[in-house]
Amino acid sequence: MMKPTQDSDHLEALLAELPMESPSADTSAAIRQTVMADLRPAGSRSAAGRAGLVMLTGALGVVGVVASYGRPGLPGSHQQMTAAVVSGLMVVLAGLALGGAISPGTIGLPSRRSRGVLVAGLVAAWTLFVFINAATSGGEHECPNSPFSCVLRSLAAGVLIGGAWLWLWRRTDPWTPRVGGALIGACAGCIASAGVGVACLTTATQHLVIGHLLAVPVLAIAGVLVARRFLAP
Amino acid sequence: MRSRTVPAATINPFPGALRSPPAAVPYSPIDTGELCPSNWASLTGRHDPGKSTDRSKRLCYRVGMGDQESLENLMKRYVGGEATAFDALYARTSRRVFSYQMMMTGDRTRAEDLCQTTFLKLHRARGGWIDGSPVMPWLMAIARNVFLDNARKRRRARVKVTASGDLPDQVDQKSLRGPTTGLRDAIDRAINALPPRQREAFILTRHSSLSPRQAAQVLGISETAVKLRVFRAHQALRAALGAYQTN
Repeated sequence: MMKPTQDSDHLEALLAELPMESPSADTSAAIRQTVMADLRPAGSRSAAGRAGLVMLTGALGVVGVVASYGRPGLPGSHQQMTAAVVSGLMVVLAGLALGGAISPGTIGLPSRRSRGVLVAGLVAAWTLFVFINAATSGGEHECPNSPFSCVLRSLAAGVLIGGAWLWLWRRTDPWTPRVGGALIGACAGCIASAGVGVACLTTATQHLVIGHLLAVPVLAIAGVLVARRFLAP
Repeated sequence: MRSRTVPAATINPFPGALRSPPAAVPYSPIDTGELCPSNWASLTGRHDPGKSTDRSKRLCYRVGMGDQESLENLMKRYVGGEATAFDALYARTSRRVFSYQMMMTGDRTRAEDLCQTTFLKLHRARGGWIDGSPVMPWLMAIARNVFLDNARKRRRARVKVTASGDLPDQVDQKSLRGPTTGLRDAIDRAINALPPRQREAFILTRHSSLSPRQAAQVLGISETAVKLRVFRAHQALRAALGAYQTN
């Protein structure tokens, strides 16, 4: 039937011998029975719809953080206005990043590495912005609150925002849920930090690091830890 | 959605097809791109239009594709609660999922369990499917996670015993398969001898019929890396099976 030769150009024909096997009738019947017993409509949203909800919850988060400081309105200092504009941009970017990264095939960042680079780039860019904004604010500002008060606010807001996003994207990411969780945590941390930056004007390095920036890596790590449970199907 | 129609004359029917092709087979990248490896030649470095067309047609008809509703539409209807949509989806995807599990585990019983777990996970997570996104990469990623979780559990279990505490009976896995030939065994051995990464990329693109882009999504690596792994796997298989040819 078969004879050995030195011809290796018949691989296609050889591999065609491999059959595509089917599960047994019993297994198929068991699967069908389980599915049919529990078959009811389940809402499914598009990537754009989910990204829109991410932006909405992010904007609400920023407003919530600013409101938690109990200071009505925005005084027009350069630092504060910049922080407010960048907060809005962060909200939009978070929506785009999550919408794109956790839905391969639609917009899609296919590889784990490119998603990891996105997370690292986001954290680095945000850290850089916070220090540049403080350095270019013109003069020294002191926040009446302690850095711990700010970090508590940013962590609380970040947990709420990140939790809402995990719920929005639950069971969507079988590919790289941990990196997706890191991205969600980092985005939520940046948005919470942006809200804190709008309300709390400070140029003190220690306050910036502890009060404004610490929440970002903490939430990113928390995202990695819980993501598999929530994001993976 | 980009689509084109392939005249029946250019895809001449082949012997042994499950059914004769329709007069004009609608071609859509989502539908058939994953099944008909038009880029298979680019992966393997061989450009043989005649053979790749035959292979594409064989795959398309083996899984019953052609003029059917897209998997994405079926998934959408299934998420909406339609039982017939699940049946159609299962009929069109189960063989690809099962083949992947079977090739990765080499154990029919285990593959049946994993296939069942995969579809039950799919059912639980159906609300998480992103409307409009391709179904196969999502489903195959779930299947891969199920396999990896199972492999980790088995690695942790140093002594595998039955529920009653006895050592399990040794089952000859070959006896659970269909009739085998010497060639079939040689192919199995050659595929099992591949490094795991190459084997997985090869199985996903070749046997589960995903495109390199979709396989890259499933594996969480770049498309170029998938192509490289498949190319190397193909080279290794060619070397291992070079001593065989069909009469």
